[in-house]
Amino acid sequence: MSDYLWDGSGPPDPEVVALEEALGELRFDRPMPPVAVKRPVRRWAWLAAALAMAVAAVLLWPRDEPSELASVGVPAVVGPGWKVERLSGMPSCSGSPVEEQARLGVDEWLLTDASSSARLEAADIGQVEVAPSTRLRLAATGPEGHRLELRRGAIHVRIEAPPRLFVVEMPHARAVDLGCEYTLEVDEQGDALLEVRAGWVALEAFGQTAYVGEGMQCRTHERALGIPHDGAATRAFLSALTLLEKNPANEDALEGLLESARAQDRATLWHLLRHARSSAAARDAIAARLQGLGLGEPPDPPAVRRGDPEALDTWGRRIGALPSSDPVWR
Amino acid sequence: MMKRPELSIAACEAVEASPAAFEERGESEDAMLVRRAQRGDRAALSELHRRYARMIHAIVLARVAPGDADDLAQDVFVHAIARLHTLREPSAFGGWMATIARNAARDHRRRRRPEQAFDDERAVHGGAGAVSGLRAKEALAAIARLPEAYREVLLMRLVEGMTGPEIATRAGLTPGSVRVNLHRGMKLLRKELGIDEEEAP
Repeated sequence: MSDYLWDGSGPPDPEVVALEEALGELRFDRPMPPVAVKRPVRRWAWLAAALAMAVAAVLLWPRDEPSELASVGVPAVVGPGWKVERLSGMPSCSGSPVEEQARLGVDEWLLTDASSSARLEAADIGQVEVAPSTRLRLAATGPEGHRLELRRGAIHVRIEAPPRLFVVEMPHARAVDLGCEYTLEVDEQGDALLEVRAGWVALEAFGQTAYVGEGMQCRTHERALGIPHDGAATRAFLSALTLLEKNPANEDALEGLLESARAQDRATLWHLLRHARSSAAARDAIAARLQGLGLGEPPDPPAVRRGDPEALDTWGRRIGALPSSDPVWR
Repeated sequence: MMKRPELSIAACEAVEASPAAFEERGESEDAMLVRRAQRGDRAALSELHRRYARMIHAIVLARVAPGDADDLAQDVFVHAIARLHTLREPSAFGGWMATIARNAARDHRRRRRPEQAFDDERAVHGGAGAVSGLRAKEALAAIARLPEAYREVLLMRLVEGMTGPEIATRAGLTPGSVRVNLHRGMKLLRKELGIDEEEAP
């Protein structure tokens, strides 16, 4: 790459200069608008509130249902609860009906029946809409992060926060927010379905991680984590993918999938590259298809062929199969 | 760990705000500005706007019509500053702002009425002093067809005049990632614009 494109040094690149001249008229040059700053709650106030609520939680609040989940990731810091707003029907918050608004405290359950729904204000970082027939617990909330337990049902999440500050625990998976809008659904068997509307989410299950981007879906099924796929993927592609999820060594299914793959399916192909059970021959075929789709060559073909994680991750970021921001997901 | 002279709130805050405390935490200059801004320091706010407004604008421009980008970028900054108190890690400011900008741009696009698209053409062609309005429209359309990672860095570089190192610092990326995205993005952009790569330097 020319130095000029990188930092404007060295001999000017005529094409870059022409684009700068053409596009420079759009450069932003407005002064700062009027703004108001809200001062943060002092650290000592957080600590005092946390201690007081921890004591109250131990002494006064019996659990509705025992958690089956180990406490992982975000510590169970006790903090102020979240505001609950009734959207329809009569949701229940910690055993009490929510007529208009309520407060969901840490370790309390929000339940909706078939005709009720609610909206949660997720601290100061976003909102969670709770669909009918949902069981949801606020597991932790505080300066170190926020954690929900979705036992069953569906939620629509919208978060504006640095990555990994918001986590949703489900019976067989964990969704780690990397920013910013998605739907999570858990069925009666505890299987999860994630659909991302904007941004990225890391879905962790059964020792694996899937990075699910805008417009994509991923699910768990039969004690396994699926491969993320584009919401508009063709039927042929999805049929082949289902077969490959069951048996990554299915060569006919791989051939069918690669034939029907579009550029929008790059993330699926990348996850297949990364799958522990993909063979070197399969990786060759997948890498060739990615190149055939105009996504460029891998940075280190031999390393990609043998499934080297770093080489795969580098290529994944380059082709848009992973978040472009540098990884906090390692 | 720095010893605090007394366990009073004012003393703790004074220690937190001192340059020595920033140095001990190994914080960047931008993180220092964020902490000062969180305390209502308007000079720090102004400096943050100067440093980050172009990044915000480029992220927004990657998703919305040029005619809307300026106003939306300002709205993003106002919205973010109103929530600055929720940012616990000042060093994550750039990534945090980028997320807010992307959200706002997506919301704006979803709310947009189809007939407003006609204004976009005028917004690109009508700029005073444009060298080539047609080329700008072509270039923007071509950039819009690129993957998101390339789109944003190219707009930061070609529209906002940010250098690669500056893009890395503001957006919270490694210089290596930015370099690769700029190179690949420019290569694809040349292809989209029908520029013969063999003729390009």
